Amino acid sequence: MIDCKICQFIQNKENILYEDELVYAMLPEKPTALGHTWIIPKKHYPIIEQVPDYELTPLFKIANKLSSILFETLKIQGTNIIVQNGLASGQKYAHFLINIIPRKENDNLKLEWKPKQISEEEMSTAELKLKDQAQNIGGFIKETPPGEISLGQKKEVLDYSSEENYLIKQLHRIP
Amino acid sequence: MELSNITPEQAQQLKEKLESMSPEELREFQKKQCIFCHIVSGRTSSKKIYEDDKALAILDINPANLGHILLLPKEHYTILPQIPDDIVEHLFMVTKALSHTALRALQCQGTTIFIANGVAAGQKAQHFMIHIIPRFDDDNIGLDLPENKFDKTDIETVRTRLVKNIDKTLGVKPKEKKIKEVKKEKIIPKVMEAEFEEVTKKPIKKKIIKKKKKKRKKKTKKEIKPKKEKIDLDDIAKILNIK
Repeated sequence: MIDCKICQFIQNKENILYEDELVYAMLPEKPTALGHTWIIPKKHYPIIEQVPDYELTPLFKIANKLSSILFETLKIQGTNIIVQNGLASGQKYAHFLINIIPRKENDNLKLEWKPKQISEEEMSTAELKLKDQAQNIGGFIKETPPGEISLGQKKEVLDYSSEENYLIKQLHRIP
Repeated sequence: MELSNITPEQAQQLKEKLESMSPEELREFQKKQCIFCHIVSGRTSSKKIYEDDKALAILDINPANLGHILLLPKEHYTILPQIPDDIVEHLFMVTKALSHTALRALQCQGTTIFIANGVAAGQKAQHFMIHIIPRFDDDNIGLDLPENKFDKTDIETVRTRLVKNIDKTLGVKPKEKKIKEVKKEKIIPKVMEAEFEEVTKKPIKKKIIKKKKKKRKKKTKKEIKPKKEKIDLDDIAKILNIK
């Protein structure tokens, strides 16, 4: 997408932390806390529902690993992982992304909510509606469909190319 | 046995017991104490939304909004980094499906997916969970992410430190060559912006700038014309030479 700011960030390698075939990680310009990280799918999807399972799982696997790295590097006491899905949720860019926010004790970030008073009746109707709709859950597609390049395959290709370069360099040395 | 009724001797005994436990025994002990493990096993009742062999989704008793869902792994883990990759994958595929479920069933305008790792992040229970919170316009839940101002150099030092450790643990170094090129490109629009700012601030100068621009345009036109002629001559010369 030409108009998408996030897509432009990916193209310009803005504040890059990590990159592979499907995933891009960067530090936003205006972070909530120092070390606030974005994990972004390289392909343009506005909301989580549009991201296919086989592109979604690598995103969260990387989010998990970067979360651990943030722990070790910045000596923080916790992390929040937050996805804002839709304008009502405060989503600012029309490109799905995962926020990792480093947390320290007494950092004055109020990422909490007050419990809402909801009647037992309302809870029960919500439960029934959700349960009914949740029956459709299943049929996850973890495997990359044929024709698409999976993570593992491309990594191998990359390794080969570096080996080739090495071999070519050696060839040049031979008189 | 309630904690407040423990005598100092009993407390000492408990401490020794905990210290002598193996990691597996400790995990078992934590499981016995965990409310959410009781919910998974069915000993404590809950409003179940979805269940499979690895995960369970229930309604939160203290919801941020109507339809606030908690997704739990059935195994006891405290924080995300402890969970094996295959379960992480599964949990987030279910999260996506549950977000979709909420959008459809409750006609909400969005969802917030929220995870707290550690007490400092607001984690209250010892069992890892993913919150899926239905969102409506202007519901004022208070989960907005404030945009704070930090020094660019501070962000850059954090970035270089993180990149180093990412390279150490994942063996990946991002290709940063392009960044330099981008910086050069960035300077050009900045100058343009400055020009525009001048224009807006001092409208008197407008005409002068316009004139200058016109002059520039004329110059470029003039430059192009002789070039074309030259090219033509060169081409003719080449053709003649070949012949």
